[in-house]
Amino acid sequence: MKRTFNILFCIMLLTRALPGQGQNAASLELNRSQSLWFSTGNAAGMAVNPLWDYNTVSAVYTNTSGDFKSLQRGDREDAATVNTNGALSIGNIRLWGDFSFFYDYWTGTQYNTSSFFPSLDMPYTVADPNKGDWNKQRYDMSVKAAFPLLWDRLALGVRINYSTYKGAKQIDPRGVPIGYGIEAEPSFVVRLSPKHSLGATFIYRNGFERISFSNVQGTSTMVYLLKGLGTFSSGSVSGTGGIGNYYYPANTFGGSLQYSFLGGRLGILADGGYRREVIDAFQSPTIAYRMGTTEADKINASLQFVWGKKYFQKVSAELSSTSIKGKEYLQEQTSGDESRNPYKVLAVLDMSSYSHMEASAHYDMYIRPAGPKDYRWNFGADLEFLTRADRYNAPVSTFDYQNVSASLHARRNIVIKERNRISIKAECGYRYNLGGVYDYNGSDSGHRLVTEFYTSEHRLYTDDVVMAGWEASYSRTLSAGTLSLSVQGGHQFAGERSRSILGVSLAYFF
Amino acid sequence: MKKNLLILAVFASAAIVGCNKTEGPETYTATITLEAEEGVTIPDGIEFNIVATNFDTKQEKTVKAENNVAEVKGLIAGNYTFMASAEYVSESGSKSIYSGSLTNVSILQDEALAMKIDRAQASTLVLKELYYNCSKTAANKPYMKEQFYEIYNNSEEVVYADGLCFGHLMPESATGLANYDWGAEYPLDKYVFFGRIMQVPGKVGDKNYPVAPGESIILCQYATDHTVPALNPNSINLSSGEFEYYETTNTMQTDQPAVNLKMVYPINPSSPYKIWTMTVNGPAMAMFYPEEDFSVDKVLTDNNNKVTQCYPIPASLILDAVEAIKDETQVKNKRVPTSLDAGYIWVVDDAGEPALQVGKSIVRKVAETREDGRVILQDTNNTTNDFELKKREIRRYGAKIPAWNTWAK
Repeated sequence: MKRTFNILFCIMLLTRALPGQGQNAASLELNRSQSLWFSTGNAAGMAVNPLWDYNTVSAVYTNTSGDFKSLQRGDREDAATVNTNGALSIGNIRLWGDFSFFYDYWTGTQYNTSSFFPSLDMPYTVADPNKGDWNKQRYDMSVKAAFPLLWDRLALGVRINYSTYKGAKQIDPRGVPIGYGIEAEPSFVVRLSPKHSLGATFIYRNGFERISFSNVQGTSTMVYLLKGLGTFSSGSVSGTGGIGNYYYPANTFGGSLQYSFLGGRLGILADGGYRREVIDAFQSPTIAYRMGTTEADKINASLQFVWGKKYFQKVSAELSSTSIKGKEYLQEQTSGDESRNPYKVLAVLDMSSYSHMEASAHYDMYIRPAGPKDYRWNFGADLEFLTRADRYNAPVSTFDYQNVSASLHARRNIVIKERNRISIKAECGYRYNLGGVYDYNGSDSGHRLVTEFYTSEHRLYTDDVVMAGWEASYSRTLSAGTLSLSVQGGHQFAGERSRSILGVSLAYFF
Repeated sequence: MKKNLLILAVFASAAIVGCNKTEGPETYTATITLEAEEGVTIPDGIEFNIVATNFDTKQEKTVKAENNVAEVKGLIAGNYTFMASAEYVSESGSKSIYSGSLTNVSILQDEALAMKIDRAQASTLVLKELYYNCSKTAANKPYMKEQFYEIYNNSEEVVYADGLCFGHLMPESATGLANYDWGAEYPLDKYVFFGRIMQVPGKVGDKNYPVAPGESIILCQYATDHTVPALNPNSINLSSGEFEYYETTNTMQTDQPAVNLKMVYPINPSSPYKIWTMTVNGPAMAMFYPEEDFSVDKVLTDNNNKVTQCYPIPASLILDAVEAIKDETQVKNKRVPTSLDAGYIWVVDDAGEPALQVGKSIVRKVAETREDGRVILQDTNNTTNDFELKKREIRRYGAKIPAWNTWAK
């Protein structure tokens, strides 16, 4: 707790209060839109295209409910988030920092005994059919630093992210995941000319998660040791032959390249990156019984254009592609002495693959009659195409879908007597399913993992969905900053099912 | 518009799948040569089915052998069980089953394997219905007194139950202590190790308890009507059962008209067991006619490794055996030698989950129904293939009551 407070205190120092300079949610939104380099991982880019100074601290409470969800999510989810972030210069060093604390309580989850972050991309997890609750908390801290230009050409920078989390399932069998991740991304930018710049980053991330299992209400409970797409083997928590702790060490390497053109009224930034992530899953480090390994190759690319003064416009396009291989192990127990490492790997098998691609395009226009740090109207549109193709190889099972979605949004900011502001936002969208099939051909076709869980997951991703969102906020400019109270809601409708999120937030901009 | 989007989706999907197209794991071929056990002759022209089962994926591949050689292709690296079986009907009409198995075979490359084939006479008596899982009372408490085991005459001739033995094998639950090594004198594929043996009164050769073709005898823990309010209305009426175990000092049970079984092992006349129960977690069960008297001298004892006692019986005497386990995690701890029975089964509830006290039996499947309505039950010496789960019932498929059972109503 003391360590967490110290971290928080350091972030607060970085985001120390400045006299209020018309900071508000709109200015923060414009700040990030115009700083093209900020949207990349290249911290050195802040030396050529910095954020304006700002600080914000906020607290948000949301409640989510509805049956249009993954069975691994809660029928009801309550979440509280505290965040502070800001940007400033210390000397000639440009800094940005962000700290968040998340607390979640999910009720009525199923088919998840072990995962803090349930995901189709990690198949080697533990599941059970008992409906229960999850209690989760997470800390996330990021810092970007850009050092002054050397020889008016070269800027160095670094981005660091640290996160730690702990969760606890509230009903037998109970899983308690504890994990951390630390990511470092050193970077540089070369200013070829006042308008043209090139940049590059190198990424390394290390993560680790440990999950312990127990029963409180009974002696032994059956669990499913998942392998992908409904294939599993049986295990138990506690009792004879009960599973041991699960461990997930993860390592990621990668890098990215950027190019920018920052003219008078036109800005362009192209960014492309690659990451390779390897996550092992095994039981008990002393005997290292391997449950599986995922090897992921992730490619992403984006292109951004900004232009205009009074009518500030931004167009961006993004493409990301992820290909994951799931590997399983044929192992032999060579010794009954568990103090050594008795499991010998006889063969490594490519048993599954998980692939998805996402392409999106976004447009925003901000009408800024009062200057670059505020706007009265915002209009925007988003278009997205998503395809997923998962496969288990022996026997062959597949899980795939393709969706296209489009949405529109608009926001109006109304200033009343200089110090008061009302902001209203509305958005609507539609997701259309182009096709997809879940085809299971394993030996347990009647098992509930197949008939309930994966069938439900597939329906979640293939239903056509109507989406709507809204937000209303009131802000008052004080002597030192702006206090803002907002309520927001988001709704999804998929036939007879729906899901809604309602939230209230309090933020202070200074 | 929709068509254009669909075409775009197809191309994008093909691109993404193509970029990550995985051919799957490498596959291998197992070439199995069938060889007769010593003293066995495999008839000409007999056709063997070979089933290869991957222990992890449960995927099965079935091929037919040609000239007693089978090639099983497309096997991914893994641990496999290979089972061969063939049925042969002689000119005299007697049926024999030729079978063999190889268990826990690691396939890491193309392999050439040799499998020994043994011959078993299709058993006259078979284990037909085994109810050990039990049920619950209205107060949701486990009710164990209703366990029963039905033995059926599956042949064309009268069989006599005098001296017939039935019991469970050790360990009682299929834990890691299965396949305990009792030494060179008791090889695991040549012996079975009983934890309890119940015997029908009389000696082998007596003719007090004839069982005609199509008749059943039911061995009960307690052969009474369990559905009375004082016991468990959710239970079953076993008052027509032929045999029960009654020990005079057991105050929880009264002696019923059924014939009293003898508990011949454990041998403890000064302090006999009061009740006869089997584990609800899945016992391995077998029956045989003994060739010699039971003796304390034959009992195997080893207090190390927490294995206590068992009684070894040669596998060659076993008429029929069934492997029931608690769930999939116990598959590797089979107690019945594969040469006697290559499979296993466990009880699940209506949702498909392993469960206790759900009122289900393991029941042998019907292979054929004769014109007179008499059924012939399936017997390939493989519990996995031969048995299924059903709600417990006595004398299903029209099994008849032996004439000497005068108390059955």
